Order: sequence, then structure tokens, then C-alpha cells
Amino acid sequence: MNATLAIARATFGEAIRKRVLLIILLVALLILLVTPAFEVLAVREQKTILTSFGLGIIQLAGALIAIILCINMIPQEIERRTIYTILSKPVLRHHFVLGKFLGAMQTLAFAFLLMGVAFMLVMYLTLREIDPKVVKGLIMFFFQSSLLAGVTLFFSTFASPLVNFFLSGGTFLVGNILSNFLNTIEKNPQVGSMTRIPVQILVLLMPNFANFNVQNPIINPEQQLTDETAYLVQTVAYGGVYICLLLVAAVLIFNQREM
Amino acid sequence: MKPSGSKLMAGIAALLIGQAALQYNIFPLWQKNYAPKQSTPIGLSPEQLLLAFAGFREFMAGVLWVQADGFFHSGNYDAILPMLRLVTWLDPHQVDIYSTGAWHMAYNFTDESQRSDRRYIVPALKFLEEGIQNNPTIWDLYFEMGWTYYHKVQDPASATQWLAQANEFEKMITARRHILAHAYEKSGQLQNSVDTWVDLVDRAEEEYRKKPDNWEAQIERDTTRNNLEQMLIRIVRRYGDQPETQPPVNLNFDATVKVVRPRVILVEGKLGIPTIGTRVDVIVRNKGHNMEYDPAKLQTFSFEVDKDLTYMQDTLAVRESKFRRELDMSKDPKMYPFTADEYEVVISYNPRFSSPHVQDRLGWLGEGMTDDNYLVEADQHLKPLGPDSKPEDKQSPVRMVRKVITLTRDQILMRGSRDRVNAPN
Amino acid sequence: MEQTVIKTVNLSKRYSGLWSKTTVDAVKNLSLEVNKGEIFGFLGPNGAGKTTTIKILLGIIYPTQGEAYVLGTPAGDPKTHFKLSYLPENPYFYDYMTGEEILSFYAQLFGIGEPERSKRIKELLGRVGLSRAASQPIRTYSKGMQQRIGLAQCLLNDPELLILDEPTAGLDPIAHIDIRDMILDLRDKGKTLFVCSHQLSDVEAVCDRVAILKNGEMARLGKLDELLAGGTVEMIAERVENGILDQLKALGGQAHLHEGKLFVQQPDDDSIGAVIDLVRKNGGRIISVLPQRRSLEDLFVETIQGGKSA
Repeated sequence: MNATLAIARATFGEAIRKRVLLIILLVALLILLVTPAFEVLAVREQKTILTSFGLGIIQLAGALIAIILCINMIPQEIERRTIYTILSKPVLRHHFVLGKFLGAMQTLAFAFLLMGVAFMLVMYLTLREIDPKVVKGLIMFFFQSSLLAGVTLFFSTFASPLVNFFLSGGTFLVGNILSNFLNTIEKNPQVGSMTRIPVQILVLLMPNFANFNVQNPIINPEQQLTDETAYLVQTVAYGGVYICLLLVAAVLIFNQREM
Repeated sequence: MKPSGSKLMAGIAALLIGQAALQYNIFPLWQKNYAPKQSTPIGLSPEQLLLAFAGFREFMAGVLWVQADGFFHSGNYDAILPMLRLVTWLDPHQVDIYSTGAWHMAYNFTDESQRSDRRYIVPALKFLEEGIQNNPTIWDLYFEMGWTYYHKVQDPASATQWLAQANEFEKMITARRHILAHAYEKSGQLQNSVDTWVDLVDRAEEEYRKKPDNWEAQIERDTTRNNLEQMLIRIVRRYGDQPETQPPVNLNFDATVKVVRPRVILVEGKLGIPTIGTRVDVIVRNKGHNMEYDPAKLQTFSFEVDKDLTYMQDTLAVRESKFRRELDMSKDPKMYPFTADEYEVVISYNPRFSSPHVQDRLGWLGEGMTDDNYLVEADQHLKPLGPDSKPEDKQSPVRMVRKVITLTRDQILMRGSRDRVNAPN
Repeated sequence: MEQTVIKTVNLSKRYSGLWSKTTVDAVKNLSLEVNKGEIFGFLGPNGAGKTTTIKILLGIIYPTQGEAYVLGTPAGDPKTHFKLSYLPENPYFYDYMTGEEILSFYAQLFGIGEPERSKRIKELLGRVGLSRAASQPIRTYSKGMQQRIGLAQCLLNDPELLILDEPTAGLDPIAHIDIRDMILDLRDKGKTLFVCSHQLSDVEAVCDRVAILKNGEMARLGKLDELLAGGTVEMIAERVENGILDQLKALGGQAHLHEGKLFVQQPDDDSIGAVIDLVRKNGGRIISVLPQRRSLEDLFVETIQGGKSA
């Protein structure tokens, strides 16, 4: 465990010094700072626009950070041969994979903290109030990007960074749409089981990123939700279980991998 | 030695099942709480769709709504309707888009004389109905629905059903609760109206006890007390031992219609009501087309209206027992297409929508009035009363005066004869 | 009896393309033993299979055939890794870290806790001469300093076996000598060193035994002294006549006169006696007789180009 934590710390330390990452963070912060410009446009919907855009941008930045961080994580270690010095120490490969993932999560937590604080600052300056529900949205998006980091790390055990970028990006998009797709299909009586069942199976197998998007009731606070706590708890558990699944699968492949 | 992966494979299988089980539980809750409600995306490009799903759904809705707001101000009303569809599809929980959109449809499509296009009322009601289905736990849209029936459709009986539902919500704004009592009164459900006022007075006094220094609470208490008192006084005046509504007054109602220019008619007539502030309703419509303000008539919300339907509604003020006004329908061919062969001009007076002092004499149901030629028992529907209805609430159809004059298309367009047409009765 | 630290038996590694049918035999039937306390030179041109063999020994890749044992256990056993260290060729470390931090990082991988960790790091930084640069980020280090910090991370666990891949590559002459001295020092402390290198002069200077790999196969293996023994003998003399040259050449060597001096080179020392006798008989005066030991470079070039197998 010591070794895992040491690898996590080293990964975090390197990640926050990486320029790409800093640029994305900077862009996200910049856009957040630009959001008040929308208030000129929005006559009535200042809060809606600000909240939805802010959360949307943070989600997108979180996803980009997760992908860009993790596509290179293992290939780069091999390329720089650092992995040889690490694996020649009494470190098992699953320690390495887990350490890398924890480092990625730590980086994401840091990024979300930074963006979240900036967002709430903007919110306060624009609306003179901070909606504490926003924190709920931020936390769920943090778990969402952690899941995405798991997906990307999994792909990185066998795919090149470029291929991985599209694989992970595609998985993220599909994982965001799939539930909506099934929802639409289930409401349309004309769609037969030949279409419905495969989609249902896909929904059960693919990582469902849409689960973590709870911004609608934050933007429309009058909404009454059914079993919200149960939903949030189960969704976080879902994220945790799915991440474990991805990590075990990553270890399985990585154990076989020759570098 | 290569490590064997069989334990890991077993772990993967277990975790796969675990996550699927969680997802299986999550999905129905997600559908209930977070999923977009509508299933028919119109007019979004695939890129926009992706963007919409990738976390920017609400944002896009917000931006489109801002854009729609711009169209409001520039008067480009037609452009707003598809946006309403799009925005509410993207985020069905932005409730004020439903209310603003419905208000816009019901009120803002107007002709040169500021008469609204009543063909848009049914879509507006349908739009509100959809909004209520998507947001059943929020009072706003129940109220909007009630208000639209009450004020725009002038069907207070239907309005009471929606307003009563709105009043069930604790969060409902206090002042708006009054509308239900008014709607009961206007629809002749007097006991319900009194009960509502009693309830409102109780609430207001409770509130005032809690906040004795709050002037709003004080005003509310005074207003509701006053309104209840007024209501009781009126019941006594109109239904007491010596009702002021008797004997019935003869209105001596009559009206004529002249086509003065193509698509311009002059409506003249008399109505024997001495008091001022009375208005006569005029409707010009395709012959036999009785507009039914029922959202159930539409399968789903659509902002398309019947392009062949001409339906104009206006009111004329009565001064010194006479009324007279030119109604110009020549400047808005889109609203008044006049494509049918025959039209009817309906000129009517309904005491139910008159001011209280007129009603003191004529009664809510017109029991204090009569007419030699044009008295009708109105076909206007009334919803059944509540289980606690008192005998005096027993409804009778409203008594009103009405004259219907038929015109042909040629007459309205002044084709054929150059003479002014004195429309036949 | 000498203890065996590394042992491979018929070790083979074949890479085959995923899609194409081309295969590469990186290592073929490699059998070798490295004994405790020796410096073993593992030589061969690029692509001969040196790094592949090391990776197998470390468990980073898996052999297609044969067996490999390190410190008595099958290669790749993480428990063994407590007792060995590896310095890759041109090592790259997280260069945002300082020298001290990187050592701390690797110490944690070994599970070395405080206060032992700090003590050992301080000691090692002193030993590799980086005490003053300890709190500088590694990206400011020179090549030699990076190599030294690399060596330091190898020593964190006080290993029994050190596997060094090109430890002196790209270093300036002084740094060469530093590293060379450290390697010798480690051997004196009883460590076993497995050194891969192109720097034949360094290997020659420090190694006890060498193996030369060619196309994945063992081409030479043995003690350095033995491998390099059996060189030519050179003799220089003066006051000799031209006519002696033909007689000298008949003895199997090469001979020529230059500015009155005679230079003779004999393939071995057996025939040198006859040459000396001949020169003396002809009144010549012998200036020097020198046996010429072969250089490792000669052996290496001969092995790789000659195709001779041991």
C-alpha cells in the first residue's frame, strides 16, 4: 500500500505540473470567468444560464482532464523507462495500476476543487448568492470524471494514446447518450423488442455517465425528486464498482503485457 | 512466469454483475428524476444533440430561450414557437418557459387592433398540459392553466378545477389564491366561493398572527375579510327575502351588421342596461364553428393552427344602451383568411362577465333579465358542483341574449354587388 | 562452492507480430550463470538481446522458453526485488522531483519507513556526491549527476545484486572513472554486479567474467583473463643486416627494418626463443621483447565479425 500511495503521489505531482493539464484548467477557469457576460444576454434566466453553463463547462473540462491525463499514463512510463525502475522494485503491477489511478483521482479532485471554487466565486459575484446544491453537482461530476479516468486507464493498457483518445471520448459520449436513448425507446410503443433488448443490454454493460448528471434539478430547484438520497448513494456506489471492474480488467491485461 | 488471470476473471465477472445490478436500480429513478421527458427532438443538428446530451442540455435550453426572448422583443413571434418546442424538449423542467410560452401563444398573436388570434388558445392549453405532466409537483402551471381558462377563454368553471389544484400547494403565492374564489363566483358556484374566502381569511389571520408587523400580511387579512363580506352581502342582496334581481328587466336587445368595406363590418345595436361599464361580445367565425377550448382535442402539442379558420372575437362597450363599432379584419389576412363560403357574426351579452353592480341587478345567471326576441339559455357548460353544494347553488344554465347573423364570403369581400349589404337576420 | 546469483537455462524469447507472420528471436537458448561477488560483463552489439535478457530477469517480460532464476527464485518474484536493483540505460526519473524526493519515492517503493529512509537517503547522497544538489530538481542535473542519482536509487535497499544497463554511457571521462570506482567498491563489499555495456574499456577494467551475445545467442563466455590471453609477442632489435629478414619470416612471424631498427611480431611466445637466438647469432642487439595481451575490443570485433562460436 505504501508503494501504491507513493506512486499516486508521484503521479499527482507530475500531473499538476504538466502543461497540457494546466492549459485546460486555465481555459476552464477563463471560461468560468467569462460566464458573467451571459447576463447581458439573459434577461430572465441569469441563474439558469450561469449554473448550467458553469456546470457544463466543468463537466467537459473534467472529462478532458481525465482523458488527457490517463491516455499517456502507462505508455509514457514505458517510453521513459521509469516503469522498469519501478517494476524492478518490490512493486506488483496492480500496485502500479492502482497507484496511477489514485494519482489521477487526486488530480481530478484538485481540478474540481479549483474549478468549483472559481465557479462559486463567479456565482457569488454575479448573483450575490451561492446555491449550496451546486456542490452536489460538482461532486457527482467528479465521480463521473473519475469513472472516465478508469475507462481511459483501462484502454491505455493496450491502446496507443491517439487511439485511446477516441476510444475514451467515444465511450464518454455513448455513455452519456445511452440512457436517453433507452428512455426514448421505452416511451415509444412502436419500437419492438428487437431494438429495445440490445439497447437495454448495452445500458446494463456500458459505463453510464449520464447517471452522474444531476444538474437539472439544481438548475430547476422547484423540482421534487423521488428518493434522491438513494439515487445519489447508488450512483456513487455504481461508479465505485464500475471503477473497480475497470481496474481489475486493466490489471488483467497489464499483467500479461510485455514492455 | 506469466501470472494466471483466472482469479481476476472471476473478479471481473462479479463486478460486472454488481454494476449491472446497480444500473438496473438506478435507471428507473434516473428516468423519474433526471431524464428529459419529451421524445421527439425537432430541429436539432446531431452536433447540437451530442452537445445537449453531453451535459449542456439545460444550458442550450437557456441560451435558446434567451434567443427566443430576443424574438419577443423584435416581434418575430413566429420564430418563437419552434423554439418553445425545442427548449422544453431540452429541459422540460424550466417551468417559466411553459408559462411564458403559453401566455405568449394565448395573448400575443394579435391583429392590427390588438385582438388576439384565438386559434392559438388550444395549443397554449395543450402546451400547459404538457408542462403540468412534466412538472406535476409545481403549482405554477396549474395556476397558469386556471388563469388562461378564467381570463382568456372566459370559462371560469373549467378554471376552478385547475385553480383548486394550484391552491393545494403550500408554496402557492397568497394573492393568487384569490383567483379560485373569483372563478367560483363567476361560474355561479357561490357556496364554493364563500368556502374559499373563509379558508383564505383563516390563512391570512393565521399568517398575521405569526407576523403582526408585516404590512403585507395585514393587507391580505383585510382584503380577504372584505371580499368575504362583500360576497355574503351580494348573496343576501340577490338571493335574500327581497332579491334585487326581481322583477326581470327587459333588455330590448337587437343588433345589425353592415359590411362597409371589404372585410370591414359595422356592428350596431342596443341593449337596455342603464348602468355603464357593460360590454357586448362579438364573434365572427366560419359558420357553425364553435371553438372548443379543450386540449384533449390535440393529440400532442403543435403550434400549427387551422389556416382556413377565421375566428375573430371582440367586445363592444355599451353607452346609453347603445353600441356601435367598426371591426376591421382587412389588415390581417393570415389571421382572417375568409376562405370558407359562409360566416356567422354572433353578438351576445352574458351577465356572468359583467361587473358586480350590473350583476346585482341581473344576477349571476341572468335571472334578473329577459328579452322579447333573443333570450337564450346558454350552452355554456358548467362543471358539476362539489359534494357540499347548497341548494341555492343549484345551477341553471346561464340566461343571456344572443343574435346570430349569417354572411356569405362574397358579402364580406363585397364581391358582386357594390351596394352595402344589410345582412339578413 | 560459489553461490549462483543469476542462472538461465536455455532461455529463449521470441517476439511475433500481432498481425504479420514475422518473428524475431531476441534471445536463443541462452544459458549462463553469474556467481556471487563477481562483476559480470554482459556484452553484445545493439539488438543482440542484452536488454531483453535483463527484462526477463526482472520479470518485466516473460520468456517463451527456458528458465531464469535470480537469487535462487524464478525471475519476476517481487520478493526477490527487495534484494536486487536495476539501473536502466539512460534512466529517466520524474524530473520535477529533487534528488532527495526521487530517492524518497523509490525508498517508499521498497517500503523503507522513516526515520531509516531519511538517514539512508542522506548517506547515499553523500556517497554519490550529490549532497549539495539534493534539493535541486532533477531536470537541472547534468547527465553524470542523473547517472549518479540513478546509482543511488539502486543502492537504497543495499542490494545483493545490481543489474546495470550501460552505466557509463554518455558520461565524460571523469564521471566514467567515478562510476567505475563505485562499481569496484561495490564488488569489494561483496555485491554481485551484472553490467551491460558498450564501453569495452570500462568492462575490461572492472569485469571478472564476460559473456558476449550475438543475435541472441551466446558467442563467448569466460573469465576475462582467459579470453584475452594468447596474444602476439613483439620484439625490437638493432644492428642487424637486411638478409636476416627472410630467415625471420620463415619462423612464422612478421619482420621489417626501419631506420636501422628491426621490428618482429610473432603470433605466440613459443617461437620467440628461436627469433632471439637468430638475432643474437647474427650479432644483433635486442632492445625489447613484449608479449602483447589482446584487448577486449579485439575479442569483441573478432567475435561479432568472425562468427566464431565458443
